[in-house]
Amino acid sequence: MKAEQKVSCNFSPAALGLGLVTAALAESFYGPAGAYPARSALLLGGAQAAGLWLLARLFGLWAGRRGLFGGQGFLPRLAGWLFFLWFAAGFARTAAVAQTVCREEFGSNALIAVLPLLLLAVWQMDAGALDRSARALWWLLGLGAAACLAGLGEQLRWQRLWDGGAAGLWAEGWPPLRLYPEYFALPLLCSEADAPRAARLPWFVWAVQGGYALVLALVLGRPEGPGYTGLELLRAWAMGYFSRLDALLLLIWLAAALWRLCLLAFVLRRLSRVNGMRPAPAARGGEGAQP
Amino acid sequence: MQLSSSLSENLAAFNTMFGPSADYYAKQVTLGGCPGAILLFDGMASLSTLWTLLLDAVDRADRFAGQPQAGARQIFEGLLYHSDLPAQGSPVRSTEEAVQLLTAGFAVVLLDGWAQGIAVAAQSLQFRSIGEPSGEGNLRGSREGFSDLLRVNLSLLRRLVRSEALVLEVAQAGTAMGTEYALCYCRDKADREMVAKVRDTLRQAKPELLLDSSYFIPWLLPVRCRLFTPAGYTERPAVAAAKLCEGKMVVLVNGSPSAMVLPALFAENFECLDDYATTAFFSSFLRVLKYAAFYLTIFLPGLFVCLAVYLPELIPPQLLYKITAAEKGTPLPLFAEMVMVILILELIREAGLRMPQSLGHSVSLVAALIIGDAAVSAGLMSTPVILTACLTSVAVFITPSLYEPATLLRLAVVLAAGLAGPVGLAAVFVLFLFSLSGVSALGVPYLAPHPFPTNPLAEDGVIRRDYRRMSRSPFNIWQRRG
Repeated sequence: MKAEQKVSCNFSPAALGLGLVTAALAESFYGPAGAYPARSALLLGGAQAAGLWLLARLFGLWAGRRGLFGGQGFLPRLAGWLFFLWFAAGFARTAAVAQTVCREEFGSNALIAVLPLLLLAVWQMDAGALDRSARALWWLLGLGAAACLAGLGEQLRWQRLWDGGAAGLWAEGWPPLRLYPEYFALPLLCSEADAPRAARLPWFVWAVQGGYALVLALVLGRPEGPGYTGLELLRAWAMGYFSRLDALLLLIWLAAALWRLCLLAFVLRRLSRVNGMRPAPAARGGEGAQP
Repeated sequence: MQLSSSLSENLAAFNTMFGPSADYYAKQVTLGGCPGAILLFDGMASLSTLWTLLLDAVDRADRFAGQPQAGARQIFEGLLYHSDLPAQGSPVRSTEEAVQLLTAGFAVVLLDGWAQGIAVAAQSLQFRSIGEPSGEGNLRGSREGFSDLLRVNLSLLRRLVRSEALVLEVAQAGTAMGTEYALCYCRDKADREMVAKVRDTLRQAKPELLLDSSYFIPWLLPVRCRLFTPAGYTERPAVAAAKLCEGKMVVLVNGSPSAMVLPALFAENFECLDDYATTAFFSSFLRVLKYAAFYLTIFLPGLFVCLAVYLPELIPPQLLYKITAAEKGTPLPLFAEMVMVILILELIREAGLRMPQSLGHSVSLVAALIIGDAAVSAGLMSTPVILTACLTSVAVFITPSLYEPATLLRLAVVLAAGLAGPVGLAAVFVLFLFSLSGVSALGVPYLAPHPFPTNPLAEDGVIRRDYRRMSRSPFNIWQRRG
């Protein structure tokens, strides 16, 4: 357990949740609109979230006992590398979605130049700074979501929930289940005290995807064409003179996506250190009045 | 160097040090029949006061009359321990000690045949009167501001915090000028470990010159690059006293009215004494306005450039038509125009600040004519750009303590938004957040616990609650440690 405490990033569940909400929003934006009924996304997705919650909790307990992150031996080393690859894949996926948003919605490829500069600027940042900045982005996302709902308020029609007829809950099967490395790397990402709360991370994803599917169904029903994506919901958003507010929410999402990329880069750096790729940095804080 | 028992040797040593200086005063006198000398600096110690105190006590009073001629030791002990002279409790033993006391306004009395001196408190230092600080406006509360003299400033603090817990430690910095500074804290509220750490850091600091408390920052908070500094400054004794009662430390430097408060929170830049003198509702309203003004001053020009250039569909059509019409007549792209206006406004501000006050009005007049009229008439700049830049320039003065980071960030946001569009804007926003959240001093994060609290309705955060309710659980900075 001592080795585990040394490597823990001490992120709060709220900060990890922000990263997952950002990833889940990206899935909702570019996923096919109405592929799964809102009922199915909420109920079956809820069952999936409950299962993942239990699995994350049990895996976290087991990983903590075995010293899976930062321990010595074959298994911790293997786990370290597997999680490194998994987080790297998460980083690549988030960067790819962010680049897609930038190119398709803003007509810009600037992310390719901006991202390395951003990562360079935050290279030496500590986990506490990332954690504290998450609160501001939560507020911003919350305000964006509230404004979005306010803009869609007049277009919400409850009867659209039943447009698909009386098809059963299982008609479309289980909604796709996306696994994120954060679910299972709790001993690495947060403190032991926060681990039980952090195990609820799958519920964050469920809330976003279920909520998005519900509002999408209320506004658009079930679009028949295959070419519609979740972005149609944002495009339907209007407020008086302001007609294209989707760009505003996408801008907020982009800030959150950049934050998630910084978080994943931090975790990758920590994992590379745990895996022995880089020596641990010398302890700081003896100088001046800084901690 | 130890003082000698020979008066002539002592006088020669002081003469070597201060002989050519016009303000050095050394007069040989006879005290109770014993040759002696009075040393002081003209203008720092009052000769007439000393004369009244000392010579009356020795010569005119018949303390030594009718007695066999007293030795230097008896006269020394008589003056130091058995007279009503306002003398320093301990004798002066070395020339360094004597120099320290002389430069603090004391007069030093030396006697032939005794290798110790007496420091007499005869100070008559001239200093700026205690007036209202011009940089910290308040409607209610104390009008007093710190003066330039350290001892006067310490007395102002002591007068406000009438408790045995207040500690005012004075030390001399290791500079060529030997400037005095004071570390002030409340013993029962400040964190002992952190006080010791700050004390050691200040003692070890070796600034070339020490003209203000802010000169200590590179030693207290060493970092290569930082936008926000987790230290506050005040010229008001009332504010400094309030901070001391919150467990913070105050550093004062002789010759400067600016007190440094350690550690500071970001949210404190939006608070003032008036907040607690008005109703909770009104002060909360003002605080929300201040926060809005701060974010406006950083992001508005960049947002304007980003929306007008990259995302015009987000601007209402009527407004967009007006912006387009105004931009058609100008030769520069909107982004370059915005950068130019911001830089010109900074130039004007700096000129107004450094220029003699008598010329300040002329600068304002010229600036108003150039920016307000000529630039628009000549078609060099558009009115919406000038309006946006001016609005942000005014908004920054609502939080003057954040002027430096706000100015740099504003320029960075405009550059990022102009060069990289929405992506640049989002990236610079994230960097802004990190630059705020990455700062901490003495283990207290700069962002703790507001302005983005987990509980937005904190007792004294972006909005504040009733003062009676707040007073039930007093604030202490060390509760906020990360």
